Amino acid sequence: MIYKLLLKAAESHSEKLFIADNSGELTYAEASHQVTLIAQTLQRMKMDRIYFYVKDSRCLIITLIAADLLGIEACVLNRQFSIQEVEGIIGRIGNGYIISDLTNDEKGNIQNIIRQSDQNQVKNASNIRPVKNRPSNVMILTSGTTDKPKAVLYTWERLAAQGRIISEKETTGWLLAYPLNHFAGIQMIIHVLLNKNSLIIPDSWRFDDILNAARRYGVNSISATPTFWRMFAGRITSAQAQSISLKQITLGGEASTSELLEKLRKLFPGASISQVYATTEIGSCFSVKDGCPGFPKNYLNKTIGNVDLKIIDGELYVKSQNCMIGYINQEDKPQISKEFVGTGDLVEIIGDRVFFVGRKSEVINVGGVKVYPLKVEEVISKIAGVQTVRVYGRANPVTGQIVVADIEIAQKSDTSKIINATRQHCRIHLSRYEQPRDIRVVASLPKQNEKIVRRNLNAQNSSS
Amino acid sequence: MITTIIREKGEDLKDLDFSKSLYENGLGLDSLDTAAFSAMLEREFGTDPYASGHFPQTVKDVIVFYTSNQANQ
Repeated sequence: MIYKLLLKAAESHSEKLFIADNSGELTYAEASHQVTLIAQTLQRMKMDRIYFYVKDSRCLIITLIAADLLGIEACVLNRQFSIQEVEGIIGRIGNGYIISDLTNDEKGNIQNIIRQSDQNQVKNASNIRPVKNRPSNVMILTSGTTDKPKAVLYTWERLAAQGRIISEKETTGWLLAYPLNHFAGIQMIIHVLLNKNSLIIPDSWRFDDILNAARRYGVNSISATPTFWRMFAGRITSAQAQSISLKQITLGGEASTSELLEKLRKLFPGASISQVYATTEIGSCFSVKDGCPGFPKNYLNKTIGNVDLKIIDGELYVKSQNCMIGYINQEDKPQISKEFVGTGDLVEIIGDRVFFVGRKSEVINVGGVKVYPLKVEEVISKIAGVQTVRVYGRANPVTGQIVVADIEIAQKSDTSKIINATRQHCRIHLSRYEQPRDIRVVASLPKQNEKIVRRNLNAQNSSS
Repeated sequence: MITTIIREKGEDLKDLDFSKSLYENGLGLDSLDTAAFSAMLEREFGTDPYASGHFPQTVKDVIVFYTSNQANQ
């Protein structure tokens, strides 16, 4: 499917830039040629499944498309996984070839490794036809920020069906700010192909590399997590913001706070701001373009795009036409297609708006009273000097749990001043149960796939 | 620590009598205040009487917990 999208784009936009990274650039026509070359190499190996355990790059994307051409099942692994984790995942999902930059000393017990440099052995392309009657699958591992990663199966058709074609007059260049092992990273490839845009892969997600890539290639659109945006907005000056002229800011993967949205509006007044709600299992659900946190209440109990939404016991439920096929090796789990599925996201209706208040697994129980971390984080994030905050429960012998907050602060900020300001601000805006009883300033909060890691914090910190 | 908790509640610090009970009819700590007190003790001293299975009734009980712990080390 994505091969067909690439071919179609190459026919109409052959000279347009498709992807660029620090090793070079490819137009749509060049990319189409490269896919055929790599497909010839892969075809000789007669593989059914391919894993990618490499840094995100244009070569990875080209090889993904080549895998689709040949009907090979593909899975991009998080390059930050340890070798043991990779061995465990392959053991659970099933064997396949692994494209990797691992040396012989590093590879442990992993077999069937193809060095990325070995892929480009074929010099002359010859015709390779797409494999018929063989749906091309892609496996995406859940992020593991709230639970152990699970392998989710999609066809490329189903993923592409979630994409939207947007008619635009000017060229759109997207910065890749999601890792390609992430659902949102895969959706970026599809969006770029569907709309014949350009995709720019920065050297890293360090601030300087992002800014350099954006300036060099005229990036005018970025889709990223609120955690990414918080750090980016915290570092960028007004002059730097003006130098990159963003026209589209998209946030997804975590709930956005009103304070972050306001900050982005001030830095990039010419940009449209969209928030996308999606889960790896259910897919892309809906987007909100009004610049406010949460979503309009009138999205509930009707069909929005490909999904229907409803709330049951404070939890958001979604029915999607294009959700995953299922979990790998969990055939006993019920199929979710065309049924309402609990997202695990808790919501609250206030007026004509639905707000996200946290994950079911993250609710803190203070003496029998439920406290939602997102609400406390929303309050603390408004304090000057606070860059990022993570609120969670810690075991307490008196009330079962207490609320605690870890804060990343701006450089050169006064730690004790900010802690005192936080206590004072929370006393005014939160109930007694919601008050964080311990506030720590930390050098950095743990992140994975540019999302704050919240996995099992409460389970580890519960006295029950 | 106790005066901090009481001050943060916005209550009067005058006439605090540390010989009285920590709780109702004394210094007035409720469950949330006691949880906060427990967390402060844990942070400051690395242990706290509540997590160790004790439930001190007065400030003196808390002091005895830490002094007897020190003596046992």
